[in-house]
Amino acid sequence: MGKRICKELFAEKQILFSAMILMLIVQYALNILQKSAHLYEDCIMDSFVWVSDSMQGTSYLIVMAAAIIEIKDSYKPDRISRSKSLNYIWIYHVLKSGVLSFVLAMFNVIGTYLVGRSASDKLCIWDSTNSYCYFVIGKTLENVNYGFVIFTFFLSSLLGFWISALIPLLTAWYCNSYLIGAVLCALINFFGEFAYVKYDTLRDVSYSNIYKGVDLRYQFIYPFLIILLFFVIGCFKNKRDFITKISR
Amino acid sequence: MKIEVKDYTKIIKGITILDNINITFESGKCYGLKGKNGSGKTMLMRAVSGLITATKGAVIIDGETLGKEISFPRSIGVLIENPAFIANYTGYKNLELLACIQNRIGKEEIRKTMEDVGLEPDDKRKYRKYSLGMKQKLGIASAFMEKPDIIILDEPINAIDEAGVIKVKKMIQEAKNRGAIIITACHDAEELQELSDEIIQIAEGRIVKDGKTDL
Repeated sequence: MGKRICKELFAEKQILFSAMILMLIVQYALNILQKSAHLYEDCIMDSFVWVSDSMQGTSYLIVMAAAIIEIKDSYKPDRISRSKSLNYIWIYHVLKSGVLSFVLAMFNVIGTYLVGRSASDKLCIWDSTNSYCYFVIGKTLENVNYGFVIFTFFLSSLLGFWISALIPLLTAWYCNSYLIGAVLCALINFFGEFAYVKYDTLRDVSYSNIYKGVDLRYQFIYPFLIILLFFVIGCFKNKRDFITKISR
Repeated sequence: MKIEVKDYTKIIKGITILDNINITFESGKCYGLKGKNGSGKTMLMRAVSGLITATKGAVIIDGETLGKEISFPRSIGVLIENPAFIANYTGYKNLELLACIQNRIGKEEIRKTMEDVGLEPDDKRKYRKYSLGMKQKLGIASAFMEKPDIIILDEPINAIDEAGVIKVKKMIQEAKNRGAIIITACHDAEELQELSDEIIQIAEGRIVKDGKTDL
């Protein structure tokens, strides 16, 4: 199955490249918007914070759209009939969306770094009172573990992308409609910040979260459990029709 | 091998698509489905392929019920709708990609099937550059390449030239000789008669006539 996933994913390069280009535009735009006032000095690491702050309503939805386009052909009769079982098809969808999320999360790190690098030569100035970090939280950060921050950014992207991709795939699996899942996913992502738990802000790679330290529950454990839950719910589906329209 | 369709009814959103279908398909024969557009031919093919589940009744393949013991037939080749070929891959690479789902065949079998159907395996043209007839031939090759026990062909000779039709007929004959069941539908009544051992007439989701062809 792994071989098939990789072959299919990279066979349709235009989908991946289009998603990457859109993500790069978003990353660049977020950087421009955040420092539009030019009040403080920025650094490359600021890019990760700014992209992380707003990727729920942007990159998450790009990955969701890419996943729908990547998966839709696997419902064609010639592919379905070669599958061993219904579970095989669902597992394939979960894994393919996972690999897609992994590739795009890697790109999210690379793209964000490149955008940050295009704006500043300095890797991190969060120990300076002239930094955006000080401007936002009123504190300086000493001895920042850059590797850990970037790794957290990567994992946070990967799990967020994967969940966003799985929501429409799950609604398509159960009720033959990507649209319901896509709308649901968009609503969650757009309005998530306004929920009283402010779950998104707990997951951001923000200055305050870096200062307080990563909360493993919000960053990794809960998102991973959501993915596991989606996977299990999909496995319970033991009957379905593979038709796109009602006709004889 | 035997496929039994027993009391098969399919209702979707209140519309009866297939109505109490009873028929048995046996090894080494080609069955031609005849009927108007919307009569239920393609849905019957989908039912046998495991692509739809029965509202009532069952499809039993060698004693195993589709949707219960097995989700899909263990060995089947399907040409229904346009196959999901990748536009920027060559015909050969597309078939290789499909073959890797089951991993039953190697490069040689793919090349041989392409030649049988009249396509050149080393042709460097991408799928998007293929003519309509070439696309159809590639679809046929995808249904035959794994030498399945059941072959479902919905309008297989659409857009194919005369020489291509002869090749398809030869492939169907070879598949029959090795004991496969072939179920096909075709709008050309004469071609359907020639391809099939038995014709099954369908109207409004019901079988109205079945039996041996005049040929």
